[in-house]
Amino acid sequence: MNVILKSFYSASFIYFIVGMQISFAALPAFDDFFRNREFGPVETKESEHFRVSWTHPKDALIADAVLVYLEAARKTLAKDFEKAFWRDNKAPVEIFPNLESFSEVSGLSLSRFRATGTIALTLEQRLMILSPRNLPTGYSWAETVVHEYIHYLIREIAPQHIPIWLHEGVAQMYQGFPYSLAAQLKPAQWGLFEGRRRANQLLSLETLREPFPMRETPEEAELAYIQALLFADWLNKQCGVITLIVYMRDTKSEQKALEQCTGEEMAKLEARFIPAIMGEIQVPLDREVAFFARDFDAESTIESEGELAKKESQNWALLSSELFNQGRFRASGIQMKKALDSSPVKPPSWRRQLAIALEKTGKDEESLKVLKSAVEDYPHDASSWFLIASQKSKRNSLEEAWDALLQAFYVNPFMDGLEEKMEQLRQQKPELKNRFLLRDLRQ
Amino acid sequence: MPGRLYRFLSRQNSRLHFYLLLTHVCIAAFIFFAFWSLGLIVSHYSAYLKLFAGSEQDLLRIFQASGIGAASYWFYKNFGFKKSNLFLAGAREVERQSSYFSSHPRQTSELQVAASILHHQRFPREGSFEAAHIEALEKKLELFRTEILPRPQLAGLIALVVFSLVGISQMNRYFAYHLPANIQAWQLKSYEIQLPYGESKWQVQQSGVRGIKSSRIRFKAPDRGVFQTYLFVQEAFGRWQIKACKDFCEWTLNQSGQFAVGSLFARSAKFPILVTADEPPQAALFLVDGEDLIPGAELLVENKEALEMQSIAGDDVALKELSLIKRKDDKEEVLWARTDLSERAWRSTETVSLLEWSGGVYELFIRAKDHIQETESEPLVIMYADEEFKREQRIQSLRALIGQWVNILGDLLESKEDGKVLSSLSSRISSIEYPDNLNEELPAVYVEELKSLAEKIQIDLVIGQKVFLLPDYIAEVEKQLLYGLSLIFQQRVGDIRDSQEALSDQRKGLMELLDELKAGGKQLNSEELQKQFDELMKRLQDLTSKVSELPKGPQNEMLNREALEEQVSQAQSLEQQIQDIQRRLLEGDSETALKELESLLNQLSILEKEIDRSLQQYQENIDQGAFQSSENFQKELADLQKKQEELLKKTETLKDQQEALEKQPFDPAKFREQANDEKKLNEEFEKLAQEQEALENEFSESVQRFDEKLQGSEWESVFRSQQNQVDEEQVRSSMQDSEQGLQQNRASASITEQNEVVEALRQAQENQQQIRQQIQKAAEQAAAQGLQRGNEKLEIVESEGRGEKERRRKIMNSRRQKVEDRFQESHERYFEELLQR
Repeated sequence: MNVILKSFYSASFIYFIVGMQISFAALPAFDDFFRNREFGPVETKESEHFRVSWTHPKDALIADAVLVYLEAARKTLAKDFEKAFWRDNKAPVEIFPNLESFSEVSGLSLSRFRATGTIALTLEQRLMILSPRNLPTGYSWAETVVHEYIHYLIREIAPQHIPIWLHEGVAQMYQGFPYSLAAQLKPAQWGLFEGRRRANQLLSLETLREPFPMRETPEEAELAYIQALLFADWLNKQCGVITLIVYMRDTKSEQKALEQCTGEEMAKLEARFIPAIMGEIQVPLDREVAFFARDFDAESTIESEGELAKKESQNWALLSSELFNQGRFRASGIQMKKALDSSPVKPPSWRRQLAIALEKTGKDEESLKVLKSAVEDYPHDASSWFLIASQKSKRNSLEEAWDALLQAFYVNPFMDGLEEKMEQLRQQKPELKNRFLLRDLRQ
Repeated sequence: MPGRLYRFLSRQNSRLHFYLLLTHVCIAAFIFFAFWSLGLIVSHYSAYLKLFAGSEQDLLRIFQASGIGAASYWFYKNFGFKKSNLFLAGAREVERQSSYFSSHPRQTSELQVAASILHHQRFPREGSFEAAHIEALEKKLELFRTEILPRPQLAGLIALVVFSLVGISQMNRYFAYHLPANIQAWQLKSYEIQLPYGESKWQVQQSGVRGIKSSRIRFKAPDRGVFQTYLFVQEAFGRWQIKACKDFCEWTLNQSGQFAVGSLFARSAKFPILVTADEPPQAALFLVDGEDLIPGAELLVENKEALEMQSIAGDDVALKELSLIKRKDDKEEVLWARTDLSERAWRSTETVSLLEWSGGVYELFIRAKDHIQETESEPLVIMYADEEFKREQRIQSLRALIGQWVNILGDLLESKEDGKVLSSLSSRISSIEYPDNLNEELPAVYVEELKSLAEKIQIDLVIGQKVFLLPDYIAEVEKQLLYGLSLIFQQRVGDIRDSQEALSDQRKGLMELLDELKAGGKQLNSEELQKQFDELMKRLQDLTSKVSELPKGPQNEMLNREALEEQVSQAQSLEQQIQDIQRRLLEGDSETALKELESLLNQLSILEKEIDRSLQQYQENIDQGAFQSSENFQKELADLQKKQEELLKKTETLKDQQEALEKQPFDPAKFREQANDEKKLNEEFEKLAQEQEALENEFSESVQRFDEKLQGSEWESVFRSQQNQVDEEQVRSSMQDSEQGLQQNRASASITEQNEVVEALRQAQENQQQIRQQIQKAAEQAAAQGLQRGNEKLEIVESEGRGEKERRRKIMNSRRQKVEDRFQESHERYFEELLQR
């Protein structure tokens, strides 16, 4: 059961924005709701364009970082979203201490939260996120806030008339800002898309207009997000997605705006949607994508992707784990290499164990290499980042260690030992104290 | 402003006032001390007499109070000034002490007159006699100015008071009571002792005074006529304490020392007092094993309904409570308790029923309490082996064994990488400890298989140094370890498939119910739904607990542990969802409840897939076992036999048709029809021939699969014996002949061959079963040294050495001997003490 819960929770790449489709009555204000509640008074911090509020004392840990990250994202988004910045206000970011209070304030039922894995919402132009403190493996909360901020910006341009597929497509396109300026699908997502395309099971444009989380299976919901992103990307090449949003605002019609943008009649566009537009998308055909195209099962999360690896590899990984637990690190490493070499999917937990085994047998360089490849494939694997930071710090590369810790921090800030490690580095290098951006984005 | 003379007289008056006050205080103090001294004398000497004994302090207080009263009265009466004398007394004293007035006696009283005037008129009218008198004296002021001093008597008075105080303190010392030096004959015949606990009663003792600390001691006070009787006690060579006796001389024992009794003039000889600390009670619990009493044993108990035990306890004073306690995982249960004891020794034999016990490790012990302290006996450790306990033991044994083999795998992997066999491999293989408690079919066979594998590794790799064989052995050890891990899982959770199928049925039932609800055929809050939910919850809990036991690979240890603990402490999410739905139903929110139900069913379907995938892995590993392969092979043979029998029936039908066709006379009119029938018959033969060929292929694949699975396994030669291969060749050959017969439309020949095939397949199945039974029997025999299932068993795993046992037996025998009644108690007590040493 935990696997299910974990898979839903940690699927940080899935942003189920149920709230977008539901018309809510006025929601209680964050301050009012938490006044006289168990967690303590509401605290607030502000930057030039954002105001972050939280109530659980421990959530203060991420407050400064939220502001720094969002300001940096806003700066890089400014060029495209200029039209959204017509108001002189501060976007409110609210960090909810637990799922229960999030459910009460948002009006979305608790079981719906659990079923869809919702961790963030944008309602009444308030960016609401669940504190990453609630999840053992955290989630990419900073990226999630940016994703929500894109919804906010779209609504600043056009409060109505924007279909969910465009909202989600655009939000996914820009969620990687300020670091990743181009949206990228993961091998598993490409695999799902390719598998469904081959089986002629892609979703029509008509279907994409329905609420994503209400799809029959989580796999289909994921497919809807993928197609929304791919379609938004295609439209961006036609007239630009922001222009399309403006068209929709002005014409108050999805159909007219799409016709204006593509120069095609709606009926024709709808007919071409699956065979031509989706059909012509180039899928990177590496081993891993091919594997997922064959076998993908949507409840998989980063960790449970290991389950999809070949049975033989899984067995070797299991034996490697046994060797590891017996302190036979060298043999464990040999066995895990065998498992990884034979599997198209290389789960981060396997690689982390290999890295530790290598480090324990004195192969530091090799260990670091394994970890780097892990974070390359799974950039949201906080544990791997933490291990990289430990190795860098051991070699006295403090700046690099700090960057790795930041990467871990932006996924699982409450991971055991992370705060202490950051504090330790801050003491060694005081100038790191308020640095919440990676080196290439430092101002 | 007052004149100079006035100010002078005022100051002198204050001085005089102070001297007078001091004088009167001293006199009052003297009066008080005089009464006090008298009181001391009276109270001291009253203690000698029976009449006043015990009222010394009261008498003293009476005298002290009287002293205070007399002093106060005197002070009140003699101290005080009249306003009219205010200046006059001062002036008189100045005249008395000033040398001017001594040398001018005629001037005496001039100052007194002036003082009298100033007392009445501070500022006399100008030009009057009074003013002139004052002025004249002011002019002479410097001549007679003097500061008056106290009279010498005051110093004497102060000295008297100081002496009185010193005197009283000296009297206090002098009047302290001491042990009299005069000795008077007296003998203590008996005394009473009261032990130091609430309900204790006075007990008469004959011999010398002795007892445990805090006990009360008393004896009848000897009569000393008009004089008071006293008890003199000295503890640990300290100061003698003197206590007045009334009817009894009584005190509390604190430390060893001595005592005497008498009046303040003469006393008895000194007698010793012996005080001992209270000793905790002693207790021992023995297992009664025939004639023997086994103390502090570790027992393995299997299929036994009861144990006989003997408990012994004793205390230096008296036992108060005794109980027999059963302890498991820090939880205690009182099996019996006696709370109203007063004996110094206790012995009882009882039977402890094991009927209600669950498997596990227990401690049985006696908890004994006297009135002050409590103690616990050495426990009897009982490993009570029920099926659950034995299973857990098996799992632990298997786990330990697998742990050792994981290290062998480690050695093999490293050897392969180094290109030479590690030196540690030999010692590791020879030091493997194989469990002997795996009397279950599969684990026992598994252990035998590992033993053989170890031998082969020893011969080929350690002795033979055949490095090229390393990959094969690594593969084989890997297979065995995975199989072992799956065996553990199987041991722990049993057949998980049942739970999974039950959950699946439950989900399907709910799905149907949901369809009916949507169609409006049923009410959402029906009892049926509630029942389904309850059942579903039960299944979910069962399944999730089993799934959590699945063998796991690498785990992520770097987590936010606080969140993880929070999640674990909450109910599982699906169960929570069910509760949410139930709550919504109660609140009447049917619409949301229905949506939630749909979502729940969706998640259940995912869960099923998830479990299925995990199970597949586990099942595959289990199937890797030679034993399981044989079972699977047998099933496949049975399946083939069934198919072959069906083919045989079809062939027989075809043969009948063929014979019927052959019997038909040639009829040119029906030529076309007959030719058509013949063609159909040929086609049927062809079809059956193809079926036979398919069966032959299936058989070959099955044999090949079995071969592959057994490759390198210990049981390869047994399961794939020459005879078996000959039998299989027979099957294959008969199948080919049957196929050939069918191709040539020779139904009878084919039927004969097919019968051969069926028989050979049946034989092959029997062979597999027999081989498995033989292996199992051999493994069970090997494990027979361990536990014997079903038989009652009591094994003393650990106890005191044989010599000690012998000593106890001798002591017990001596104890059982009868002695004179009056000595019986001390006789038994002596041997019990010996036993407890």
